Amino acid sequence: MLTIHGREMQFCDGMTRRSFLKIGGLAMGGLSLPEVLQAQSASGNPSSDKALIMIFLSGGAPHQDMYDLKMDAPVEIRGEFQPISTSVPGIHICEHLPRMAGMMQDLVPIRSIVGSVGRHDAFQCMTGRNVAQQPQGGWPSIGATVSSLHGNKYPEIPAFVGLSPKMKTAGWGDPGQPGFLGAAHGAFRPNGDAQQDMVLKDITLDRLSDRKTLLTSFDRFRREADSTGVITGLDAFQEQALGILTSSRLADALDLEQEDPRTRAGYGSSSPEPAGYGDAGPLMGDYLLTARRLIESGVRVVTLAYGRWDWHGRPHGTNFENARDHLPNLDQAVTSLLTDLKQRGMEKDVSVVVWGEFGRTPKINKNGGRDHWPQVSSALLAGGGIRTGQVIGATNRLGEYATERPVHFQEVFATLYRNLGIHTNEATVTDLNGRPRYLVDHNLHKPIPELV
Amino acid sequence: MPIPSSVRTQTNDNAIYSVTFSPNGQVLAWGSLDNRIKLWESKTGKLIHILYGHGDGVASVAYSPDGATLVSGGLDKQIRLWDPTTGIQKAALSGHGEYITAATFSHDGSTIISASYDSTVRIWNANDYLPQATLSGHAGPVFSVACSPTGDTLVSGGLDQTAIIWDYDQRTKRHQISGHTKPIECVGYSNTGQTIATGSGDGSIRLWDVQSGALLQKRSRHPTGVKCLQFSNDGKWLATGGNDATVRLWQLPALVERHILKGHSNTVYDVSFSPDNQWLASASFDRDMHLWKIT
Repeated sequence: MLTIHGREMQFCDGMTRRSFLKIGGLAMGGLSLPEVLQAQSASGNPSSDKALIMIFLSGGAPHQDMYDLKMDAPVEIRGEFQPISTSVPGIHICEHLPRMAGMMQDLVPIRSIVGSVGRHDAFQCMTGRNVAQQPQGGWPSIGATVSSLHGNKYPEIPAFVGLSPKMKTAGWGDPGQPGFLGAAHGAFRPNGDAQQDMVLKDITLDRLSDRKTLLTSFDRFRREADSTGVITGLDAFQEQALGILTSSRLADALDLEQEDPRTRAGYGSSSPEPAGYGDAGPLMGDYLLTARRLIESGVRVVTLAYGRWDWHGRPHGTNFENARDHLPNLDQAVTSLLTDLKQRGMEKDVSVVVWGEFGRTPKINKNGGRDHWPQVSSALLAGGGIRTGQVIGATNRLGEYATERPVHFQEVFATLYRNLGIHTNEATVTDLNGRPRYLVDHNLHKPIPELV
Repeated sequence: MPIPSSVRTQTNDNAIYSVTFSPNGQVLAWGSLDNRIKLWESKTGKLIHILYGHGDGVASVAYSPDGATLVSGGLDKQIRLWDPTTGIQKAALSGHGEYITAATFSHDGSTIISASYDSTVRIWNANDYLPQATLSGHAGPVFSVACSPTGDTLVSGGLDQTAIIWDYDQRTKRHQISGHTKPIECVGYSNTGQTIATGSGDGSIRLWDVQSGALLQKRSRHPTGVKCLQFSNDGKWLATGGNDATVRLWQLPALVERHILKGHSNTVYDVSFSPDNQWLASASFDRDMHLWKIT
C-alpha cells in the first residue's frame, strides 16, 4: 500500500503518527518503506555509476531467426528470413534487425547460451540460477544483489526498479525477486501490482506523465507535511521514505513528458496493450526510455519484460508472423536506447542485456511455430565497457546445440557483475543461515574472457 | 478498374484477424487477436463500439443478411452474437471443442455456420441458437467455411488440403476436392453460387465448379501462401490476401491478376468488398486495416 491522500491527511487535526506512516508502505514484499530503508542502510554504498538494464524477452525468443540464421538447414528448419550483413564484416543477422546490423560494432550477439533449465519464466534470466534446490528464502535476483552490495546511490532513489507490468503469466512479469536478501532489496515496481495502490492525492502512477498536476500535487503535499512539523519528528528513515515518495528526482525520471518528443518517438511502439495473445508484456518502447532515465537518476538495475515471444504458431500467428511484428520493434527500441546511452556518454557504465529463458525448436512445427528449446539460445550484450563488435559462440548447422564456446547463463551474470564493479570470485551475500553465498557458482563460471 | 489506392489506414494495438462491411456498407467491423471486436463508421473511421466478451482472439466476424446481428467466432471456442447497434452481446454458443476459425450466416440468415480446429463444421439455429448439425469429413482442423448465396451448399477447407462441398439441406458431402498441396486456408462463393474459390498455403488460388467439383482455373502468385479471399458482389473480381503481405485483385472469370496492392508488412488475414464494390478493406497481422478505393 502506498497511498498519499491530500486534504484527507490533515496531520494537524487528528491523524495519528501510525496512520501517517502507512504511506510508507511499498510494493517491496510487505515491508514499509522506512523498514526497507533501514535495512538498506546496512549495505555498503560505494558511489558507482555502473548500472544494468535487462530486457527480458518473455517466452523465449527464436535464436535461429534473430542472430543465428541457419541458411544451410533444410526448409523445415531454416525459416522464412534472410540474413543481412552488418557493420562488422563477417557477422550476419536477421533482415528484420537492420538497425542492430548497422551498429554491430557496439553489440555482441552470443549464439551459444546454454544451461537453461527450461522453465517458462524470468527466474533464470533474473538470477542466473536454477529454481530447484534454492536456499531458504530463495536466490536473490541480480537487481536485489546489487541493491544489497551497493545500496542506493541517492537516498531518494531506489537501487533496483522493475518496469515489467503485471501479466497473466506471472512468471514473465517477475522483475527479479529479492530472495534471501529480503524485501528490503526487492524491486520498486511503478508498473506492477503497486500501481493500483499508489495514489498521491488524486494522482495514480499511470498519470505520472501529467507533470504539471504531479508537481502541483507534490508541492502541496510537501507544504502540508512541512507545515505540520511532523517531518521533524520522524526518524531518519521515515524522512527518507518521504523523500522517495515525494522525490522530484524519481518523479522526473518516470515523467516521459520531460523527454524530447523526438527522442521518445525514436524508441518506437509504446502501446501498453499486451503483445500477442494477452498473457505477457507489451512492446513498450517507453519502458526502455524510462530505464535510461531511471539509470540517469541513480537507479543501478532496471529490469523490464518486452513483448511475448512464446510463438508456438497458429492460430495465434506463426513464429514468422510474430517475428515480423516483434523484431522491428525490438530493433528500434534497443538501438535507440544504445544510441541514447552513447550520446550521453553512458555506454561504458551501463550494461544492456537482451535475452529470454530459452531458445526455440529448430524444426518448425505443423502450426508454423517453434516450440521450447532449452538446449541453446541467444543473447545480445552491449555497453558496460565490454569488447563489442564480435560474435561469441556458434551452433551446429541446424541450430540444435552449441558447437563453439558454449556460454552458461552464469557466465553472462559474472560478466554483468564484473561490469557493475562486483567481482564474483570475491563478493558474497549472506543467506538466512548466515552462510556467505557467491553470486555465481564459485570457480565454475567467470566473466566471459572474450568480452572483458 | 483504375489503380486502387489506399485511402485510409487504421492501426490496432494487435493483429487484426478478420474484417467485414455491414450489409448497408456503413459499418466496418474487425476482430482482433486482442480478443476484441471494433465497429467503425466506414466513411469516417470513427469508432462506434468495442465489443468485449471473447477470451481469446477473434478469428472471424460476419453480419446477418439483414444487418441486425453480428456473429463472431473466437479462439476461445465460442461463437458470439451481437447487436451491432448497441454493441450488446445477444448470445454465446458453445459446442466446438477447439479453436473456432470461421463463423458466418447462411444466405437467408436462418442458420449460423461455424468451422473449428475440432475438425467439424457445425450448423446452428440463428433464432433459438440450438445446434442443428455437425458435419464431419475433414481429417484435421477446418480453417474456413462459406455458405452459397443460393443456399443449397456449403464449402469448407482445412489442414487436410481438401475442400468439401456440403449439401446444405441434407447435411451430406457432395464433393471432396483435392489438388492443393498444402492446407486450404480460405474458401468463398461467387455471387451466383456456381463457382467456389480456394486459397492455400501452397500459394495457389483455384476456382472450382460447384456442381461437378471440377477445377476451372488455377493461379499461383502469392509465393508464400494465400491466407484469405473474397469475391466481389458483382462477380467481376476476386480479392486475395497472402503471407507475402500483398492484396491481389483478379479479374473474373479468367482469373487474371490485375492489381497488386502493397502497404501491409505482414500476412494479410482478411479482405472484404463493400456491398457497392467501391471499396476493399484488408486486415493484417501487422495491426493495420487498409481501406482501398477500387473503382
